[in-house]
Amino acid sequence: MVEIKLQDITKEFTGEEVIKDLDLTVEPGELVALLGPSGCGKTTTLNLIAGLLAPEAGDILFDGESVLDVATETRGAVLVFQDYLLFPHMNVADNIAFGLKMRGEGEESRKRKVHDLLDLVGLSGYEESYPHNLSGGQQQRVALARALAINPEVLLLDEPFSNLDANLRADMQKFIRNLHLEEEMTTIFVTHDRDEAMLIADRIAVMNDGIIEQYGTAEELYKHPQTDFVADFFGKANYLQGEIQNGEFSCAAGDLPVHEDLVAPGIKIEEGKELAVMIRPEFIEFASATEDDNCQVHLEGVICEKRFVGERIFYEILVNGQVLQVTVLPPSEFEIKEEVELVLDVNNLWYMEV
Amino acid sequence: MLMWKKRSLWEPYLLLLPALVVLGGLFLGGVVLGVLQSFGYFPLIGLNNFTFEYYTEMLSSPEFLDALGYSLYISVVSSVLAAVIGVFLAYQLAKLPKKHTLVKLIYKLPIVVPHIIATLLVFLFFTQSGLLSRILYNLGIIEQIESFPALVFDKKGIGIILVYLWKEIPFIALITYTVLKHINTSFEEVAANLGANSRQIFWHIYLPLSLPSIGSAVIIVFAFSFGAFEIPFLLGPTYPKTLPVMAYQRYISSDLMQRPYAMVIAVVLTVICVGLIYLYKKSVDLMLRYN
Repeated sequence: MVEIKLQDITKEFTGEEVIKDLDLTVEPGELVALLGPSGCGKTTTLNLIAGLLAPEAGDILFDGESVLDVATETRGAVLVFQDYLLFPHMNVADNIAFGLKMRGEGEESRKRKVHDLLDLVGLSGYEESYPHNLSGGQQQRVALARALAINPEVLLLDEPFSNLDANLRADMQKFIRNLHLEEEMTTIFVTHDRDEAMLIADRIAVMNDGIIEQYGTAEELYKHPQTDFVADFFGKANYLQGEIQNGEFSCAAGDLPVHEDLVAPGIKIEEGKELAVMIRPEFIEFASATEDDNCQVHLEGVICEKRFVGERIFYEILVNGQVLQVTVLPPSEFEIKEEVELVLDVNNLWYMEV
Repeated sequence: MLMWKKRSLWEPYLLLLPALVVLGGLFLGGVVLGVLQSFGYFPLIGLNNFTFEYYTEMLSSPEFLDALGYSLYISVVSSVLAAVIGVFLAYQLAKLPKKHTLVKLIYKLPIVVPHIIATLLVFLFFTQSGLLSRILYNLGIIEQIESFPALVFDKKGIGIILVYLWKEIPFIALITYTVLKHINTSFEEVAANLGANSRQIFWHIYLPLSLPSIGSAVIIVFAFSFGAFEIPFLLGPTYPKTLPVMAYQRYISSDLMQRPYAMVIAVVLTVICVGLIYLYKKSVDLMLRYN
């Protein structure tokens, strides 16, 4: 299994930097998602790792050795393209065996491998079919089998599920996750779908405008985003502006406790420091009479908006002139203009500079 | 609505009538007359009975068989050579960076130059008293002008083949280049990423994907050179002749009894060309298969 390291990678297209000083380390055998909006440079990053593009500056290391001089043919990082790109003039068996044939592997062993791989991707008996007779999902699995045929040390997947319908998508996500574990590869995949990244990946690199905004586990990114871009990408967020006064965070909604564990890295808590607290709407609850916990923050407000969306209810609550978004599960008995008491766990406060 | 539908049945044909009259009258009429004459029905000179005589006589004559062989030889050699060189050229052109627009213009020039000019060109350069021969003589490379190899009016048909190559290589290159340019370059990336080197990419990706188009271009070129008359007439040897030259000479003969023989040759040429059209259609179908 290979460790992949990108160091200060810069890539330009017609003079415009699309990747800027990008650093990324993927541990051996890890499954990492590059997540970001379209045009953020994630596919370019994948092409750079595959060797289909060369960076203007920086280095790409596999197990500590630079692979910039290693052509894509021999780099061992196989890319499955977003639109599959099966060779239209070859049947399924020839498509899958292509890489093996190019390496001069004998016909018998090619046949065996094709048989095994079709078995693996659940397409046994499709050897003679041509790509134009296959559905999107089938083509996707053939493209995957074609990549796996040459036993890649690094598997790169570009939006592997974007062309599939919802049911197939869930199946393939599970399939890729299991495959990654079984085949012991280092896998990187590109997606713009947050849920997909969270479901499949060990770690997620959130990309925006050619840089990595944050790199971490799904939970870290959700609970402790370092930038408002990441915070917003992983769901709704309330931001309350305020400053540190007498060791507490003072904002319109009231005074909130603050300590080091709740503050984004690189920010020092000092008197007069201006900050924002990020609170996920789903972390705020309506207080019930029974509970009383020292770890909780209590706020009082008036409901000014209520939206029922099936499995959830969105409230907007005015707290000292500051609107807070709150998401709760039904049933919920509160109505507009009702005065309510809110509680939230201190550990779900997150201080950052916005 | 019904009225309109009924009308629409014959309306297109009515609108096409002017073209159809020309096509049917001149082309099909000519073919029918030719076929009739080849079977010995030519009332104008008193031949009124249908017979296979002219076919059996013509198809078994050594002159015809030599001409058929010579025609096939010239067409096969020139088409295959044009295909190989044309495809190679097209692949090189496709790999050229965008800025080389002049090169991409120059190679097309022979396409617009008529065959007859190309014939003159070959004549001027490659006859034993031609420019090339004289230059070599003046440089002392050959001792006599006559020792320059006979490339024109020769039994190997080199002069004829040269003219065809000069015209056909750019034609095949143009068609192949256009097709290559439309092949998704991502296929190349996929293949390279799976370990194929550039030679393998050409043989396993670009060539098979463009093969149906190359095939139909070769068929067009083959059919043309097989049926063309003027170049072998001007640059060919007295014997063997190509089929079109042979048919032409029988046709213009003052002996009208030669007409049925000329028509037999014309019918054979037509049958072979119709066969080629069938092959052409097949390869076009193959082409569309990938779309």
